[in-house]
Formats: sequence, C-alpha cells, structure tokens
Amino acid sequence: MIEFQIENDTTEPLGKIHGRVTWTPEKEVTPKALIVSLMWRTEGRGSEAKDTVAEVRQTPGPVFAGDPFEMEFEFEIPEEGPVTYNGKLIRVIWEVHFRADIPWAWDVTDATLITVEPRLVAR
Amino acid sequence: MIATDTRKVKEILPKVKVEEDAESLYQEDSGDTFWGGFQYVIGGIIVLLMTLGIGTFVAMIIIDDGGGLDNLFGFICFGIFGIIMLGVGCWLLSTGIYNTRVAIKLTPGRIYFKEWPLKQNDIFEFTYRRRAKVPLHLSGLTAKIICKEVATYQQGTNTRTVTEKIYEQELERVEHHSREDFISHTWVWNIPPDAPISLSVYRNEIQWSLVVGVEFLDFLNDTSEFTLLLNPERVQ
Repeated sequence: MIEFQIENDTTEPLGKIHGRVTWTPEKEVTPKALIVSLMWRTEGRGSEAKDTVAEVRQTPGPVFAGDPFEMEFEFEIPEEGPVTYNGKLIRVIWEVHFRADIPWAWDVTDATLITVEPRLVAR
Repeated sequence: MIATDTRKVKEILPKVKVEEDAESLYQEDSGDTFWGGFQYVIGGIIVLLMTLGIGTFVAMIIIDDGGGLDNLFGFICFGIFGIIMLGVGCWLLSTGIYNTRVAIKLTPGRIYFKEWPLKQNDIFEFTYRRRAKVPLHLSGLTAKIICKEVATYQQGTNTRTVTEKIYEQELERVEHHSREDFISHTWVWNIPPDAPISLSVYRNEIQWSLVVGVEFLDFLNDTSEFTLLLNPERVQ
C-alpha cells in the first residue's frame, strides 16, 4: 500500500511541494531504489510529452512486510512551468510519482495529482 | 530530502525573436519578404514546366502507340496527376507574385511594445508600424488576437495535426481615408486573467498570435502575423 501526504497540493511556478510517501510492502523485499519524482505529462489528442523535473532516491536495504517505510520530499516547480491546463485538445497534468524498483519483480508504483496554478509570486 | 534536478525538456515556451531599439522592443513579421516571394515564383515556374514537360512526353508515347482504349487508364491517371500539379504550380506562382508585389511596395510590418513577455490580467499596448515605398491609399486597419491549441499525433505511418481555436478577439477597426506612406496605429488589449499560458512541448502547443490586417483602395490587402508569448500573472 502506498500513501501520499502532501501539505500543499496546489502551488505555482517557483512554488514548493512538501510531503511524504509511506509504502507498506506486502512481503519482505530488498528494493534496488525507492524513487519519488515530480513530473508533468500531457494528455489529449497530441502524442504524450512528459518530463521528470526532480526526484529523490533512497536505497533502504530490506523492507519488511507490513512495516511502513516513509520518504519525505520537497520539490520546487520550475519558473517556466508548464502550468496545469485542461483544454479542448491538450491537458497538462502534474503529479508526484512513487516507484519501488524491485529486482526480478514488477515495480510498485503509484502517483498523486497536484495543481500548478498560472500565477507567479513576485520575489 | 534534497531533490535532484532531472529535467530533460528545457524548452516549455515557444522561441520568439524580439529585438530592441533605442525606445522600445519590437517584433518584425518574417513573411512577405522579397526573397520569400521570389522563391515561390521560381518554385511555381519549375512545377509548371515539369508538368508541361512530362505531359508532352506522355502525350508523345500515347501518339506513338496509336492511341486507343489500351492507353485510356494511363491517360486518366496522368490527367489527374497533371491537374493536381497544375493546381500546385498555379498556387505557388500566384502566392509568389502576390508576396513579391507586396514586398516591392511595403516593408515588413512591425509591432513595438514596452513589456515582454505578456502576462495574464495585464495590458498589452502595441503600435503597428509599416512603411509604404510609394504613398498608398489606406482604407482601414484591423487587429485580431488568436489563441489556438495545436496537437500532433501519429496514426499509422501518418503524422496528423489538429488545431482548435480557443480564443479570438477582434480589436477596434480603424478607418482611414488618406494616402499614406507611413502606417502606424496603437492598440490596447486587456489580457484576460484566465488566458491560457503559452506552451511549446513535444507535439503539444498553445499558440498566441496577433494578426494585423492592412486594407488599401489602390493595392492588395495584406496581413502581418506576430507570435505572442503569454506568461503567468505575477502576484505579490
């Protein structure tokens, strides 16, 4: 089971996203890496464009069944965005993505949506 | 935990060439240059000559074979091909002549402005300027702001592009009844607070453009097109 806790799921370019992911494995595994990434992608009529903006990685060693493992993260949205958009042909979606890279098995993945609003806070 | 920057896509916004002079920033319409028009003319002539040459060659083969129904299928195929090529040649030639005529009489249009890029909920004030090489009888000026989504996708081996206009605003039309060799007018556009932000990523674009139309009584009407760049609103 994967659970995301994000303090602010709506932000803007140059804004920050803080939070934590809790992964409770169903059996004992030794993942090669646990990766939390901030990414955007497009949906709609056009071919998909996507990019991973930033990521945090951890190599925790063995993780035991039913024993929750937590990873904290803090990401900054780039100034140039893109911002979240829901148009007629194009949608731009931002998400925080978790992946447990497990050797010789399917990776465990999940994602949660965040919103990047089109405003730029003057600094 | 500190995040590592892993960005591969560095360009999110379209590249727009904006130049600066002593007073302000400006952008020039890259279309309607003399060389651009001349290239179309040459292209049109080449296509028409090729069509004529191939047509003569095919006709000679048909005549040598003595004509008849045996050659009917080939004749129809070539006829269709010839009509398409003639159409392409005529379009290239007429576009080339049009662009060359415009370039001979008018310099490319320019817009001058103070702020760049544009921001949501802001005011975009721009001055359109264009010089006629000989005085022309101007009748009107129009300006239109357009925003469209452009999505490109693959269907089998074909690449297809679909476009959807999502915003269009005509600015105030200006009536002129004078002979001018210098065209100039300033418009103001109140940028909507919810205007979509410009985007240019792989196969997905949100394009903003400004189209200024110039109407003459004694010459061809013409348009200048400029790409605008819209950024998020800046708040305190």
